[in-house]
Amino acid sequence: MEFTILFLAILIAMALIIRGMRKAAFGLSIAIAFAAAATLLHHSTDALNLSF
Amino acid sequence: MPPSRALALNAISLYAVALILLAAFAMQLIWNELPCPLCQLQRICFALLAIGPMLNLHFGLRPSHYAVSLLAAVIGAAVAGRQVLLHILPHDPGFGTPMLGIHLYTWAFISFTVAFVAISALLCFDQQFDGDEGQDVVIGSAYVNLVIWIVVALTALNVASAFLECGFRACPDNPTIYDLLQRRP
Repeated sequence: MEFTILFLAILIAMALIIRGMRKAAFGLSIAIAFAAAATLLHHSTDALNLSF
Repeated sequence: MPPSRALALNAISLYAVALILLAAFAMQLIWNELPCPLCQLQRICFALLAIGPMLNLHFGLRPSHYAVSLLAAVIGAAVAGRQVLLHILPHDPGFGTPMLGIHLYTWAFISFTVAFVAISALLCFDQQFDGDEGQDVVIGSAYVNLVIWIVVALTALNVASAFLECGFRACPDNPTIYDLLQRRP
């Protein structure tokens, strides 16, 4: 579900750009970037099977 | 570098992002390989990579617009790098079908790294931020409007695809069916 929401948020950011709302689009894009990073950290629960 | 040339490069980069998102859909629809959670996240980062050029092509060139794409490239490389490390041990078959001998997440890592270097190189040219010489020739032109709508359409398709695949639940680690359709692709 979180990936659907992230894609939807990007779509909204693109719509804001097309509508001429620069600050809102920019702010939303930065928020999406941090949300994507948070999603990565949330899903990084599997241990990496590396020898070092 | 005059602003018009920098904007043309921004438009070309949007075509590159569109090609990548299109290739991912081709793997999904033609080879029936549904994207895993990390794959979805990489697609999200590619879509986010397109925001910087879109901002430049709509509102004119600004360093802050490039910063959005740089952030997307760094996070995308981290996601792709993690997936590479998950399958890096010898005899690990990897995830998905390789393309030209390399898995998609490795191609994604290469792409995000190339994007980061290219944006950094483009930022070295300060002249693009001086005035708006020739910008009106590029902004609003047919080939720019076309690629913007292609990227918007691909993002919308990804919204639908992610929703069909995962529904209202967490996405499975190794997806084989569209959850909302409850049948194999």
